[in-house]
Amino acid sequence: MFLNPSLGMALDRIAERAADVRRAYTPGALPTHDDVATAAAVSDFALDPLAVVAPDGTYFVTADEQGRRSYARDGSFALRDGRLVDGGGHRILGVRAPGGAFEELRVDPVDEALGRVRDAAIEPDGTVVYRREVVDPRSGTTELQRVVSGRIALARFPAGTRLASSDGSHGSAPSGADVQNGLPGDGAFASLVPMRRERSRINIDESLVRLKEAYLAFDALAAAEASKAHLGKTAMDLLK
Amino acid sequence: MKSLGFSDPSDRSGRRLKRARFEARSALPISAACVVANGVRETLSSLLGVPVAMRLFAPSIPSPQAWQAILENARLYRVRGNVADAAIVLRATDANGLSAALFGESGSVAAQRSLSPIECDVLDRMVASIAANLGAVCGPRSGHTVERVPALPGFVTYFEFAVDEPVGARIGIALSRDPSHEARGSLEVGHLARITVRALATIELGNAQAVTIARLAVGAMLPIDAAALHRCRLAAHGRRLAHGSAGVRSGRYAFRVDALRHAV
Repeated sequence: MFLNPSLGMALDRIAERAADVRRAYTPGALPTHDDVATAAAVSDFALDPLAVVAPDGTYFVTADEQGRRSYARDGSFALRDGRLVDGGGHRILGVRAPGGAFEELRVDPVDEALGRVRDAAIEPDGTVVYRREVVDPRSGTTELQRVVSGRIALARFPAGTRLASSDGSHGSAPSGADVQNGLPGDGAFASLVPMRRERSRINIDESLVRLKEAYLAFDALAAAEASKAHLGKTAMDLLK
Repeated sequence: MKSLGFSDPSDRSGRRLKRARFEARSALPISAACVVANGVRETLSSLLGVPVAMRLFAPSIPSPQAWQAILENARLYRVRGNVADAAIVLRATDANGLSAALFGESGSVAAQRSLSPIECDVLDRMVASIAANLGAVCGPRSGHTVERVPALPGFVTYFEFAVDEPVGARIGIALSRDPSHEARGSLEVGHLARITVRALATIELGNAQAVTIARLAVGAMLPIDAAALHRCRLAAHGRRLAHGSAGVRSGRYAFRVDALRHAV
């Protein structure tokens, strides 16, 4: 059987549906097709002070190794080599000082190298904090000092904007899109919800049904193509 | 000195796992670092003309990777002492902040630029003043010179001061050797009085006839050469303790110690 354009498109639909199914358990993942999207975002409690949920309709601003900016909903963050990264290893951008430009958020490199970073956490206003042990040289007493690494940035797009994404987790803004940047709890953006991990926006049951339908559609097309080929061969035999 | 520590939890599945590991720990007394910190605070207060608030980070033994992070883009000043060499480590941002404070500028303005020759000279003098307080950790200084060096090979111990007011900056102190751990009193014999161990004395018989060994049976007698009684070993829990002779003393079987463990 030869693969014609309609069969190729059917195979592409299967691949897209299968991708949606695969991402159903990826935190913050968005579906390729809206018909398998959940009605609303759902998050679960997580015993992780670096797990946060962004307000609905907003995205975290991330950058990969090459500095390419992307947007993601996944708020399952971690400190890796002193940098705040998401589940995919993308660096989380934010501001280190009020009014500063977006840059990667990281703890002090010497604190990281000497293992002084303790109790790293993200607060509702996006502030990334950790504690380090210091000694008061006058009294010799030890205390924990709170250190702020910066504030996580958020982005919002006009309603209906669809991000181009290859993995369902990180999307890039379409050219010319009007991106609104800000900080959690700054008036324009709502606060983050700490210690919660957002589920994907993909309904697993619905996505499996759609995947099955895509397979059935492919089978029907394949059968039609086979019948068509058989009919053509019969007609040619009669003509001979 | 090694101490038991625990790694940061890296598991992302919700479990908070920490791996146990042995970590190098500095034997430098924190009180010595406090003495230096208080001296540096007073020196800075007099130089800046305002009260200085300062905290101390406890001495540590950085790994080679940590040394790279500490020394990256840092200004290094070496101070030679009779006990050890010390070095003052100023990262670029901290050097800028301190220099700005010396000139009464805002630290945030000066943080992003390189220092002018005059600022460098003033900073070097400030470091020389700070170095006068390092006697508690490096011993009496052979001279008063503070030399600027490009690297700190072989340095072992590191601690830092965090200046909170009037400018946010950190001043690092590196030492070329960590103080040796103080010897503590050994366990006295009296502490072992109630402890019992299973001891085993064995006699090395040397060569024996295979026929004799093959004919061993209940009630058989195996003659022991008198010389074999001098080849006796004493052990406890599989550890050899002494080498000596077996025999009879004052009507009791006995083991005479001829050599202790180190000679066995």
